[in-house]
Amino acid sequence: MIPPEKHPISLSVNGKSYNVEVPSRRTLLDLLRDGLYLTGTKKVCDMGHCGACTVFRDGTPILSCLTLAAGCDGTEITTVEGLAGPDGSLSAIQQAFIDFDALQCGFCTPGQLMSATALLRDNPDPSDDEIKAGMAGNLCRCGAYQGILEAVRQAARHMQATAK
Amino acid sequence: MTRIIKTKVEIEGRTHEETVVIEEEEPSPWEEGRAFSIVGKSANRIDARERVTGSAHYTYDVTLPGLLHAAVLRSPHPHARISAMDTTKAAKLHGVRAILTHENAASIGWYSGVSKLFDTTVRFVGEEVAVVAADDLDTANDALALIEVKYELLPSILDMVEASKPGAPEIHPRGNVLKSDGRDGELYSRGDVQAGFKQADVIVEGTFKTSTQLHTSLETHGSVAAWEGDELTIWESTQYIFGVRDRVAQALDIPLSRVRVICEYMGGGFGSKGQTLKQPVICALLSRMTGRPVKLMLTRQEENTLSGNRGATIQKIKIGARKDGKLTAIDVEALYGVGAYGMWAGSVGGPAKELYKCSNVRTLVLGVRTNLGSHSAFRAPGYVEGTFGLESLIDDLCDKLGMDPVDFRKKNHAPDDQTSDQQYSSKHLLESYDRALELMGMDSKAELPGKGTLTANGQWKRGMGMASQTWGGGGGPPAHAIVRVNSDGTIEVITGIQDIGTGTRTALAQVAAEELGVPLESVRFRLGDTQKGLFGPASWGSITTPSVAPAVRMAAADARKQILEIASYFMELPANYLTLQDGFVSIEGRKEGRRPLKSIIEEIGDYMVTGKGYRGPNPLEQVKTWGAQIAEVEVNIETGQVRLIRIAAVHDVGRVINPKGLHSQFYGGILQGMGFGLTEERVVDTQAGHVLNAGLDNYHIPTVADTPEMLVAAIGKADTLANHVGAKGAGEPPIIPTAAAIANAIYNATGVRVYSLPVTPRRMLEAIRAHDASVQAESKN
Amino acid sequence: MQNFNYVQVSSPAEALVHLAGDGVEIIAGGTDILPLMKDGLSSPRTLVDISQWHEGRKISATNEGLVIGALVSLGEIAAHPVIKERYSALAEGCQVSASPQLRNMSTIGGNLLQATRCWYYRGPYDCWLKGGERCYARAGENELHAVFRTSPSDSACVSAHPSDPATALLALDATIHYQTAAGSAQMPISRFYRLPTEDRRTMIEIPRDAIITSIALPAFEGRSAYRTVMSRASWTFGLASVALSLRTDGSNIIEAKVALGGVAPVPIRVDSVEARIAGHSVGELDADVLAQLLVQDARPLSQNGYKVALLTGIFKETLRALLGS
Repeated sequence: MIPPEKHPISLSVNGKSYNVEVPSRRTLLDLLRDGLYLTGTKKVCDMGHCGACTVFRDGTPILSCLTLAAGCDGTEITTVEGLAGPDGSLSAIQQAFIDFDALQCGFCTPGQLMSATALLRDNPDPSDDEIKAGMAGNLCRCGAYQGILEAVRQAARHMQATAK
Repeated sequence: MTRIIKTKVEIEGRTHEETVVIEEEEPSPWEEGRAFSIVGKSANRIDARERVTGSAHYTYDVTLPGLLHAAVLRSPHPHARISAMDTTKAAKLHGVRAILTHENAASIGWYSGVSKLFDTTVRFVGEEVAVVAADDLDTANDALALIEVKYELLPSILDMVEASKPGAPEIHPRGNVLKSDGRDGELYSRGDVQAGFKQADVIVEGTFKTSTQLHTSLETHGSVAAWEGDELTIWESTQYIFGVRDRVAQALDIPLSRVRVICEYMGGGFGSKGQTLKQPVICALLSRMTGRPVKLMLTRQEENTLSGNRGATIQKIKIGARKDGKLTAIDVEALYGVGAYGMWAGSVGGPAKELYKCSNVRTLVLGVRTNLGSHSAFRAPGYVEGTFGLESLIDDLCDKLGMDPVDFRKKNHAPDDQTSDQQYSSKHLLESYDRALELMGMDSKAELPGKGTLTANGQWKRGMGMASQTWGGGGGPPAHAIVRVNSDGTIEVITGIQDIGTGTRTALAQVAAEELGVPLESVRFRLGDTQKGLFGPASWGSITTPSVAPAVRMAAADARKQILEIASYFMELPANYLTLQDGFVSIEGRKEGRRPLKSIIEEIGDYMVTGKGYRGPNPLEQVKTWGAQIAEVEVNIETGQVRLIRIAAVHDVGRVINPKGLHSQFYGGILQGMGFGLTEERVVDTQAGHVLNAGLDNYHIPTVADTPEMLVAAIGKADTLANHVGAKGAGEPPIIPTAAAIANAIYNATGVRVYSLPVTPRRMLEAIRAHDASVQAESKN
Repeated sequence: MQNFNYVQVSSPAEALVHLAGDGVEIIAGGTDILPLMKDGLSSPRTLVDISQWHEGRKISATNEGLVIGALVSLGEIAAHPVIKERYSALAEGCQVSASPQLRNMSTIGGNLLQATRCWYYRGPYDCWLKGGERCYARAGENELHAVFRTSPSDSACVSAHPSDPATALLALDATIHYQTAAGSAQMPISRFYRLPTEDRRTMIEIPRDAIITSIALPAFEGRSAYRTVMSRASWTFGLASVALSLRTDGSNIIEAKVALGGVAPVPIRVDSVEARIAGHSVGELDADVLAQLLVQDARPLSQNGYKVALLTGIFKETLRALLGS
């Protein structure tokens, strides 16, 4: 067996800096959940097949279960815990998820919110097909998709109205 | 005056007796048409903020000082005896704290005593062989690779048809076919089916198959166990905290008072988490061995291999009818795969018994064991499968009779229960048909479009089909609730149930707020802790709302009565002049002179107003839910792709408490039904007995891109006989008719009957080929 | 996942130094190697992270066509205006691959090298491709497997090739550029994939210690399209795919390339159909005849005969879409 090797890394998570040592095989997901106690990001399949572990790395939505923590030195990570304002005010997307009941058990919700946030950041006025394509990387077993589609549409309207 | 009453409770097609201790009378029913301020109005989930900020803590998220992580070594063989095991290398690995195998684990009986927590005989690929607890999960997994096990292979059977044959090797001390009343299978019979078929002008027959569907809850089954002295706390992702408590206490032979089970947030169950799997007991044992808390969450592969499933069925169905469309006989014989340790079979015959008026009905359901992971309840077990078979064949019958499917169903409407001499407490199925047609943009008296008449594009054909739904959902005792009023006037409702994502917490808080006369925001709803709560039922069988809402309402009524009596003293007015509304005690409902609840409660200091409620006995009537769905599909006859375009769903689930939450249940049920109908199918290697698609990459649950246009509505009429809240259960009804409606829509579009689910491109193309071949054969004759 | 040593490099040359050792694997996007490692199918002693090689992330237009760096993500390719316009099949092939997050992560080089998705290969079976005695799918659960090249003399392994971009690139005559310790080299994609043999149990022709550096596309003035059929609307490997490219001169077709994915152990070209299309006017083409020719050599396994019908359907759809009729 290969002796455990540790890599010192510095990364920013939700604007906070961390200096940690990680074994080679530690994924970003496990670092967030077990190392930094940010358990909002969920582990569902751990194989890149569900989207529940979606976080932003330097602004890009990625799957933290298929990302080695050792490769995240110097990166900026955003998780579901970083979506609300510092005063606890919910983002327009978070609020729309509540208003349109875009969740049931809530286990996929953190990943859904990350994808929706990236989608509307890159495309503020998406068509229904674009929403479906943009959200297709997040599985929901309860079947909250109807609410999710409505919530993303509503958040887009809200964000456009407030931007004007 | 305490009275003891026995009452019947139906759960998932099976009825048993419960005992109720009556102390106080229950409130009188909320009458139909009553004006509410909170009930019946859409409310956002009261726990949604936690769920959208990542602060909701699920079992998977539990972490404790010194927490150890466990991983399981599982049988690679479908049937084998463990002849030798060596854990010495694993035990020496740095960071390994404990190993549990049949050699050192206490002999704890499992699967009704057929097996043990760790047995030397394993009967499916994935059965537990050894468990390692280590400082971290990677180390635990490293250790698993170092355990050496020798197996003596035993003959295995993976095919349920083979397993059901006489003389097949027995995989289980209790035989391969489940017995009931001393005979193979569960038999139901009324009238005389042979005589019924003789009266028939038209007879249709078919053999329908459904595949094994996997629950695929996103949070896997899992537990964390920690001892403090002789008290054990278990965090468990479960649909039944009290069930876990009882099972763990029994397994460890310790008093119920020393086991506490917590499940505050839960990541989906759909039936699979009503049972208690081995991991809470394993964690408790490992925790006792190490003196440290232990966590064991199943991996995705494990979850989709062994945590339960909807068993596959093969249904031979025969239906007879007269020329005028009246049913004369229905005969159903079904096999239902229960896996290695299944002890019951899904009620595949349920729809045939209950859905339509017919004097001659026989159903025989044979639960068959195989060397595969055991099934468990999965959202309306048996009824989803049975409705597909029955309603497909009814559609064939309509076709032969030249009758409109809606018209046929109305003609064969059953106003009273035919399985007993009881009447239904309420039944709004006829209105459901009308409303479903309206939601599809049609006239409520319209017929469905004829076969092949809808237009589509090129190789895409379009069609519409329907199916009806019946299911229980009446709930029953026991269930308890307490409402307590804190000294600042805030309210806590205390129960011992769990919210598995259905919105139970919100709907029941609405009931409490309504009855009390306080804003929803002032109510905190407690659940998910056996130590703090009172007994609550499992979240299964669509029973939670009809079982617990009456208990919550009664407790709230009790608290309200006490509050008004206290207010009467301080406001110097008779209590019957006072009302509690919007959080104020007012005089005959007037705004002048009203006092906030808080100011009344402050008068009594720390005296705690405590209201108590329980679920009373069930009525003498049968409580059932009803519904109809109409699906519109497109079928690509060249590539075999099937798309569900639109679907209307109307269900009679009694009074609606939270329309928003209810509609989410409808949407979710439809999507799981669509998955069952179109994409979901466990694939097992027929030699190795190993699940080939236990991952989410090739077990295909629907994605957001598969979402059809869903048009949903509840009939919304209170069932005042069912219980005093008037609500029936709604979790399961919406999944029941979806696949059947899709299959009938496929037939309507293409003229091709699909006999096997899911209708993947493969099955659709095979069905088209079989149909073309039979048409050719007929034209030659 | 077993432990390993992890090193970051900033160029293929640096990576090659490590690759000289035993038990070394490259990680770029991580979307294939990490699942393989988690499943115990790959247990490298050293994992060399090449994702910081910035030159590899470029797409550049040249006189000869287009060069796509090996580290360009599938998402970037799908969204690239030049690729969308001139090499539509590739943009479409990338767009239907996986999910948005995976397309953000996965690199085109890694995608081309990905291991088969065969559930026996990915499962606890000592299958032929992994060095074992037999292909379990041949007599097992093979509804997702190959329908072409299934004769044991063609290939002992009957897996179906999973890559959408690879199929599109085959119809676009791409060339794979790579480096080994011996220097730079290139290979047309039609040779890059080869049926495995007894002594060479891989579908990849370039040496194991090679690193793909870029994919070159020749200048192309025609039209191309990619279609796949999945068992759900999105995010799964296609059951069968067709990539088609046509070069026309007015109403005459000068050249056609037909590539199929998901139906053989490697992406395949169908020369007979190409020959039947080339030199004809659009009006002369009979889609039904061509579709039958397309599947003439299909030899389906016990459970996947449906793929033959499916292919003819999807081929006709693609052809019609491309011809605008």
